[in-house]
Amino acid sequence: MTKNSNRKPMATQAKNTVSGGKVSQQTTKQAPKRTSKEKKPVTITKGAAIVLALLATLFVVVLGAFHLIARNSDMLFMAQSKDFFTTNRQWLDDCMMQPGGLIAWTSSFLTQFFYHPALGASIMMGIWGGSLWLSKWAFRVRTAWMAILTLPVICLLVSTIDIGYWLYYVKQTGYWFYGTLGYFVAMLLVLFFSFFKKRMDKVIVTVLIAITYPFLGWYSLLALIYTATISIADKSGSETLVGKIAQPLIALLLVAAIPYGCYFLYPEVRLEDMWTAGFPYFTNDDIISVYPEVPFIVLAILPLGFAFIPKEKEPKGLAAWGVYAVTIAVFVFSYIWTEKRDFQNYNYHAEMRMYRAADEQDWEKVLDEMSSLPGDASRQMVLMKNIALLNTGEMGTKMFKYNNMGANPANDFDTLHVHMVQTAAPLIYYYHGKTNFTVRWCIENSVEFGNDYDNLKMMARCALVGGEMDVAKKYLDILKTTIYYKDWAEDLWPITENPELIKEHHEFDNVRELRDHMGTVLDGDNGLCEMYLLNYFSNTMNKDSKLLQELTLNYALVQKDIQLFWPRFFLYAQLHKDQEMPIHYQEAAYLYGNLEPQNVNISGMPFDQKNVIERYQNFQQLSQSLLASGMKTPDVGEAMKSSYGDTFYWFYFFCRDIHSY
Amino acid sequence: MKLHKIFTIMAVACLIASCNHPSIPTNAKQESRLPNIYPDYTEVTIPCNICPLNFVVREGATDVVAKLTYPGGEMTYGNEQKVLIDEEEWKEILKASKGESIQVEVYANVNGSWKAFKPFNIYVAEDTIDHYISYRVIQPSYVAYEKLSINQRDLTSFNEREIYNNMSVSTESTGQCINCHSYKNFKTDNMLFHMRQGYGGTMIVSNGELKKIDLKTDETISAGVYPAWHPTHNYIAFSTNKTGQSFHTKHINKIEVQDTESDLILYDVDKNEVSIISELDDELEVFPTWSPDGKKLYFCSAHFEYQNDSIAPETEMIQRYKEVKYDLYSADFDPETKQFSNMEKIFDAADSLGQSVTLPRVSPDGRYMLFAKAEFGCFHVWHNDADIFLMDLKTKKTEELKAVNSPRSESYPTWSSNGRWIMVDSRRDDGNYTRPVIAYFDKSGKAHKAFAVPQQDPNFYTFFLRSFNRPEFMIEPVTVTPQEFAKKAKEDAVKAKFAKN
Repeated sequence: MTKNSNRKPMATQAKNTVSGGKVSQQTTKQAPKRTSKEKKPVTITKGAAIVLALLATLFVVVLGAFHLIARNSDMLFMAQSKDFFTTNRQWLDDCMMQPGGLIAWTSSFLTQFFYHPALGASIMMGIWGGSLWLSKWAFRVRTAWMAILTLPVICLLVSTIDIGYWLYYVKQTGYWFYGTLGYFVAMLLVLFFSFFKKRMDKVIVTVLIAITYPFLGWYSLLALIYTATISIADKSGSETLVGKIAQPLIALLLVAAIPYGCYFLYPEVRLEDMWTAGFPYFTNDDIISVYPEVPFIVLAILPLGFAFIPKEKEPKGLAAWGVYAVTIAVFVFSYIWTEKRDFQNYNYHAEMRMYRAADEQDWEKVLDEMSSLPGDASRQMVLMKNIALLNTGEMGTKMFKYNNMGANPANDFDTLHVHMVQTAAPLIYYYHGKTNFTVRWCIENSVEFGNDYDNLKMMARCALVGGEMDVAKKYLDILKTTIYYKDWAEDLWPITENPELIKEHHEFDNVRELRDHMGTVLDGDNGLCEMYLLNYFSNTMNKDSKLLQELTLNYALVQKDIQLFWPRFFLYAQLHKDQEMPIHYQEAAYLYGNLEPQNVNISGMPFDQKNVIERYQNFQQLSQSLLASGMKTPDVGEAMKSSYGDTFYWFYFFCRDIHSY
Repeated sequence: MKLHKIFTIMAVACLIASCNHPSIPTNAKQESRLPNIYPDYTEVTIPCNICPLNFVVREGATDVVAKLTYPGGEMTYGNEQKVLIDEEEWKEILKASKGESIQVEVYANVNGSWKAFKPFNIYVAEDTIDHYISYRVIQPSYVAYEKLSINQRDLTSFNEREIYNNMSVSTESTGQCINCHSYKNFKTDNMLFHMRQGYGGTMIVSNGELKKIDLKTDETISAGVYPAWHPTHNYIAFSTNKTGQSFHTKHINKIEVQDTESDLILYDVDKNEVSIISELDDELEVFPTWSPDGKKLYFCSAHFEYQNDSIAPETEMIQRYKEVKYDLYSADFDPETKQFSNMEKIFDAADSLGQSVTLPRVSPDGRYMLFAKAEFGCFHVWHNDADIFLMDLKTKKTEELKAVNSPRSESYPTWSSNGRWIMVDSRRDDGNYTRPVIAYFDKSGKAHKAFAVPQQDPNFYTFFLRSFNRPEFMIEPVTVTPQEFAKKAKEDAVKAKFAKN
């Protein structure tokens, strides 16, 4: 048979397969003389298999890009800011204190690229693509079955997007790339193993893989187990039974023995954790969350079956249909799973965007986020809004025009208790001039969850504002060794040499003013940032700083404390002579004057007739009539929200039962 | 190219790199000042058995060269901004310089032109230093704790290893704090440290045997806190404390740690018995330490009377924290009967100076006492004004050790076993992170300029975001392994018995 004659039917087959059943019918039409016995079954040819494999790869990329870049860019940026990498040797030594240290170190290196989320996500997807093909070659999986091999990668995608508020509580160094790199390297090791055919070579390679345990941890053990499955599934050799079980036995023995043997090298690891070093546990205090661990468990289990995937070169008939069915099922399942587990809580993402905007002092963006809220704000968002208004000088006119409710942080998947001191308190304290408390929580959080760029930035700022130039140098020196925070650190460095230069950096102006005019006392926040700030500022009086004074007045308003309000109101009036009294302060004065006329006589005060007096009267009238109609107070509040939700009156009467966290 | 050729070339390259002795710049411009080097090793006196004093030159240079001239030779070093000295060569240099000095000339290439700085000396004492020190590695502490370790460092090399790491037993729900490692007579066959919270107890190595003891009794405030091993008998004096922590909203000191209650106890290791040393009303007794013959116990005590019954003692303590000032006391001790007598105030810091004295340590010859002094309080590591003072126990005269102190906090002084070296916890670098510094204490009772414990990478301290707590000298390493400690830690603690005096 000539080469040409050989090619023709192949081409026909390819055509048939790509087009599926319809083309089969066409073929039948073109060859009407064929009987049903002669019908060729549906076959997945080499070309079709490649198409399927590319489709699987493309599917991973598209799904990854959709979830990572389109939906979670804000989260990825936050993820890198809560991570840390430096080229300094100490960092490598720190990482190597646990088995799998090399993965942790490399992962933290890669995580920094989420500073540009699309770049970081592309790197991540690139490694996923690499893992996909490595696993195919390592397990000698036929190209047609590629879709199955995408499942571990889908696990990695899920583990990235389902983490929710655990983002702030993850303790694994380089979590974001850890699984991705671990799986990639495991596949690389398995591929290396698969090159060897002789029994002794296989045993030697098995031992070599075991030696990687200190660097790769759990993923080294997984690689060993996978090699065992390959040996067990291998039907090609003419090995004796002993020969067949030698490698799997050695691999499994090494899995049991290597972590135990290495235990004495790792004084900071519990013996029972040696076998799972590198597996991320989601635990905090008494909370153990299994949900975020599921993708990693599935990721570990799935490749055990790869070696048993049918080795048929060109699946035909039922097998071919099986390939199609599995491919479609994998795609559908992956889509549903990722869709379901993508933590798309609006406030969760909005908090991150607001945090970043506040960090960059983009106050308009903070307020824009607040304006576009579809539901109730979390208390963290309310505080961010307050900070933005303080900095734009609009507290008196806009403080109550935004949503001031207190939606609890959502936790769709588990019972993690989110505390503001672990999410945004350092930044919130900083913008309130409470730099010591910022430093405290930066250190507390770095003790619990490791160092990160964000903490170092905050502590550097506090040191500069507090005049602690030597410790500022320390933090800036460290940041100068990073890729994305180097410029930021170098920009501020001259202040450490000449503290007067801080006056030229206007980003510090308001923080310095608040801090400088605050007294120092010995106290504590008991882990409740907002309650502490409200109590502290609402009970503070200051006439030397208009900024601080206005903050005390506003927090007295939030406290709804009439006795605290009046002295701060009068002091505000005194400090802002010949200026129009902002609307919210007028509203509060008019309300309190009416509620407790015996305290202060407001008859001589020049209130805005239309926006304050008439609105108050209308507000009272409407609320009374609604209450009289039998509506309950919360329902009245809801009914009046659209008309009066922008007033202090509404806040005073209907914004209740707010729980900070 | 053949593989073995590549390896040969690489090996030669490594050899050349490791033996890098740069040549001295010939056209350097002479500067009249000393170079800015870190750590500051200018004009310091060092032990004749210490590891190399690697340093970094902070002159904005691209390259530096340091010429070390010593009796019988000279050597040059330089690696970009760092001066990294070969360990074997350094040993030879020290051997030749014992009792003499090493002159260091530093050259720096700044903006393409070389500068030669005023040379400085490193004096090499004939006295050796104890081979080992140990310290707790911890973030500047607030409330949270996670990864803590007690490490031992060989001062004659850069080797460091962990004695115990709390993560070897800790889980999220059984988090463990470790503290107050202490040794009997600088040896490690009798040593201890505490574990709090998860798997709590005091780990005591007694004559090489590891025990876990619960020192809390119904009659005492707490388990043992600040320890002091008796030098001749198997006793340990402890303070017992009810300790609180609060935070300055703005002050540079950041944290106050206060004891609302504080007494002293004696623990008989062999009998597993706790007895009271001192539990006076209105006195906060703390920081016990023995004289080398074991016949005197020194300690600190603050007189503090609670005045307001309507508020909690903790609240009143926070409100009046500046009033808490500790004096120095001594009491005679009979090791055979375990009786204390003749308690007397030997240094009135509170009333006469308005100061607070803490952390006394007596020199091995019994002649001197070191202590930390600041305006108020007991936790001087967070007090920027805290300095180290020396008391001549013969004359009772005190003097500030200016050569040891810095404008920032110095605390936790301790002596080497031969009494020739002082080690202090200092925040001189940045006011926030404590580093161990060592100073020579000569036979005439004079302290010399303190220097940081050398590190292989001279930038180590800059990048290290943890503190070194309670630096202690040891003449030998701890031989119990971290895993053995971890195993014992998981066992139940043996309850100490209370014995009435």
